[in-house]
Amino acid sequence: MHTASNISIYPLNENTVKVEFCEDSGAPTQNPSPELCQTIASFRSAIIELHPHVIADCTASYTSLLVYYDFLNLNTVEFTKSILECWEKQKERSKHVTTPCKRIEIPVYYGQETGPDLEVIARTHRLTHEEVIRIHSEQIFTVYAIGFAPGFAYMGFVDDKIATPRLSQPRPKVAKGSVGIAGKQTGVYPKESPGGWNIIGRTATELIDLKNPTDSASLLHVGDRVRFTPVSRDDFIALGGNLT
Amino acid sequence: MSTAKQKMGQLKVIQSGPHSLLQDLGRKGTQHLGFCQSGAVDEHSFLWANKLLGNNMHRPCLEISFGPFECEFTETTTISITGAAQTILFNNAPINGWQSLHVNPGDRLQIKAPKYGLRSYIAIKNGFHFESLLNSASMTPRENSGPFDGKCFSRGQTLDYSILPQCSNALTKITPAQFIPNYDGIKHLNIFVHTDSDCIEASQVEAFFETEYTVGPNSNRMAYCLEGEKLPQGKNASILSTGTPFGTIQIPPSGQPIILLKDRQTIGGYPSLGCVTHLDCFILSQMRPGQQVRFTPLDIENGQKKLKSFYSFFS
Repeated sequence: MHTASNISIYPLNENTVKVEFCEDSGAPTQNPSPELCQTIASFRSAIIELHPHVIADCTASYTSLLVYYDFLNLNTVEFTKSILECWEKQKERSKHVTTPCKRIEIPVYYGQETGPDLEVIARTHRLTHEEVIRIHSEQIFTVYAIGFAPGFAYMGFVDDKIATPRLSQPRPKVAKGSVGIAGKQTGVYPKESPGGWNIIGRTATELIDLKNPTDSASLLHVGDRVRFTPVSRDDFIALGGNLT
Repeated sequence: MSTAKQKMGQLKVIQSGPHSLLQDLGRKGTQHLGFCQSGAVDEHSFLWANKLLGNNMHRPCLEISFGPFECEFTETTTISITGAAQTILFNNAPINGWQSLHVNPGDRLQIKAPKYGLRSYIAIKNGFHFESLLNSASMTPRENSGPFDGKCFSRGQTLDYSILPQCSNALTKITPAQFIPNYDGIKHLNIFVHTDSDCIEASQVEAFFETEYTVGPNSNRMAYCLEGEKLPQGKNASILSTGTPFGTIQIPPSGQPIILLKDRQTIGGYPSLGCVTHLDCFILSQMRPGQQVRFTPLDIENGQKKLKSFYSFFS
């Protein structure tokens, strides 16, 4: 393992190394800060720029990056060293400039028609439906990871007032565009799939194009800030939303 | 890939088997969008199929999990069959796998469900033609991603290929016996232990190496679920999700290890004990539910040396 200020790097198998980050404050990172998330996202870009042909894949998730690299052409020791150097440079640079983050608004038709678990969340927390919706739509969330399915973003962290554990039994079918809560996380199902998140509404916004899955075709990326804005049933339909 | 409007040959699927897909060496640069790596789950058989035809190692092949599979060819070409296929009928006459084969219009190929091993590969000279996604032929049914929307092949479906001029006396290429795996019996697989992990206890690693596991029924291209004596509880049952490399050994709260293969999710939240080496993941992917497996540690440097010589053999 190699460590520098705030990061450690270690190989996991022949062609991957994991880079783990911790907060500047050294605070425990069970709920990483949006700032750390953004630091990881910009470091991801920096190492890909440094090694465009060596890095095959690079997955950011909460407090880590998993880097798939061409070990046939660059050995682990040299690769690790170059990543550490890149990190020191980024630290130096970030003292002077802050990278702006992307802000995205996702219109959501909240309610029982599209959100079968709104009632349970409201009852669990002794809130009205309107209060659950207000709390969820007032927060600004950060995308901490993308996974589970193409374009599925894990966003956090949901206010404790509405945080609710996953369903004990996942549903075999969750509608495309469903907006859900799982613990302190929130997310949107990019396509119809099985799932165990508590669904409170639905969006008409497309999250990813499965036929053209490039970076630009994906709405959300790690580090982005997201706000859900309530829309009426009519607006949801006008935006292309589907109620079936 | 298919742009020229030349006449094509067609492979017509007569019997598809439950899980037949196009696969190559997988996708690159897509895991951060949540698309899995995908690709041939047994690269040893996949690469031999291409090597027998003198194909580039990236050429997509048909990956047939279990079977039975039957198809017809409309034009002349050369194909090869590798992997688990044991009973192969060519125009109703038995032939051996792990060799190249010249086909003529109307020829029929049948691959019976194997008795040992799980997956067979069919390569075709100069590859199949298809609409690629992410510069790859790899199909993932769970994601509906890849050529043919990632859907498993079904009866009546066709796959285009370039016609090869008639060369009936073309030399048959055969894989030497020492490269043909024995799929039966207990397998000993090498793993890299994640010594830096804060979620795994030394006692868990020790118990893992002492346990003989059985491949569970719920094993597929995504993951192999193992069954054995329950591992002791680690320090943290749940961790923040993190990227999952090929071969990751997850220890869920059940204490029964899960090994992640090509169609694995890109991130996961279970503690990881280590990774099975690439080469041994290829062996694992041919194992059937009920077969036994044991594990031994290996250091990464030696694992890299082995994998490097494996790829240079095929490139």
